[in-house]
Amino acid sequence: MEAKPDSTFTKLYASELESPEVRWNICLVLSLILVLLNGPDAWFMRGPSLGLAILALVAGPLRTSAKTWFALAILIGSGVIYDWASADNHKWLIAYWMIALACACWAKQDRLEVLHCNGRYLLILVMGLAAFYKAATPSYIRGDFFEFTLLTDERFQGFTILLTDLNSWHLEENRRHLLDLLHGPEWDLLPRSLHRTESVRWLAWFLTWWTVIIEGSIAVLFALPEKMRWHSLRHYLLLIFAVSTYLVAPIEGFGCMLMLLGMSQCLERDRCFFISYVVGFAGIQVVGKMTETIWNIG
Amino acid sequence: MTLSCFIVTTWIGVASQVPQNRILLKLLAPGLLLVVALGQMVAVSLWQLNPWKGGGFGMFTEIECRTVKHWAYTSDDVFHTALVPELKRQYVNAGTLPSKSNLMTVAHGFNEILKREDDKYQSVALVIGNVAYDSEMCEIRIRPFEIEDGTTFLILSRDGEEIVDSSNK
Repeated sequence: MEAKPDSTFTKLYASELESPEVRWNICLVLSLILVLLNGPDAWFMRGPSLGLAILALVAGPLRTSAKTWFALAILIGSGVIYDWASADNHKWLIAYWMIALACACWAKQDRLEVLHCNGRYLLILVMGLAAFYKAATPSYIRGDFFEFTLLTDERFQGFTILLTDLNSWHLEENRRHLLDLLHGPEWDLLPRSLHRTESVRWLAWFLTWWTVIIEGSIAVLFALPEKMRWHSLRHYLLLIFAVSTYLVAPIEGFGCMLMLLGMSQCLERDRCFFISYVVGFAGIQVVGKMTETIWNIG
Repeated sequence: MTLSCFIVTTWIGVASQVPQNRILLKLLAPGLLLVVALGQMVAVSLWQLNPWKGGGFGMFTEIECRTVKHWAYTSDDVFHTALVPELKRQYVNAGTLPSKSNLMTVAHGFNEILKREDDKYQSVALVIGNVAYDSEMCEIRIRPFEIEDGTTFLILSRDGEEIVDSSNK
């Protein structure tokens, strides 16, 4: 008897999520949260963009106004141009997403279709260009990038220790050699040797090809005409990419942006995928903040 | 703040004139992304732009640990000086886009700081480098960027004049 209200609530909640209006609002709210968490770095752009994002979170009409999103696009875009040398790639992507949301708001009754189109093309380009860049870089294809990253990048330390036979002493030695080269007093042209084992080479080889293949596959699947056969496969691949990438290297801005692009691709029947993207959005932020805290404590 | 308010109000004004063209609304954001990403690829291949930066998709593709180093020379000694926090933005610009003009900006800034703090030094030398990884030997070393044809180091006198050193080539 007591289960009845729960199941009614679940049904109500589930049917709410099937409503395009509810999904549209969730997309807008999460986009504003993304701006709050990953806004421009330049202080004179950060203030106005945070203020506008907070106002839009509170006021519904402001949230659905194209002008709000266009203003956010300009603020974030200007911040990215001002910090051109240090701005991370996801800041650019957030600026494009703001433009996409402005365009969707302009389209009024066709807003979901416009957002769907923008999200789809952005996903194809992001994944396609990333895969192309990797495939066209000889040192990447040789596995050098991931080998070097596994041996010296602090963010990958836990992953490297877990899956290879190197220990933290080896990795700290490698990092010390790297820091000596980068910040040491002499212009040292003598090479320094790093600790490496065969298992690192295998892991680097796997990561190299896994990344190219999954990014390329996502781009191809989203580029194919929209048919039911591969519709679910697109979402599965995007979610697998998010889990496999952002658990190892938590880059919150880019990961959350991909989750928003995924949400924009959900049709009415894709309730589970939509929920997965929302959970993914929150999970990436939580994992990112946890890792940051662990680094700071370390 | 004033600049950002001006930009926002101007663009909102322009934006309100945009016709509701469906194709434009669907392709504006992806079109911009494509144009910027292609431009970034050109800049990477022509001007040694850091592939991780500039709005392209070269992140997690190439090893990018760029560094700027500088030394000060007195009449009988040379000493390396650590990076100066005041010049952080200039270091980042020079590392991301290693050009002579960007390195010259760092050099002038560094020169001015040294002038205030040390009256013995006569010249400064600067170089931008990146880590190169040899996977066969499992070794790393610093590879300097060319800031001009065949030139890697920039040498500046105390007066701010560039010193062309034949051994630099």
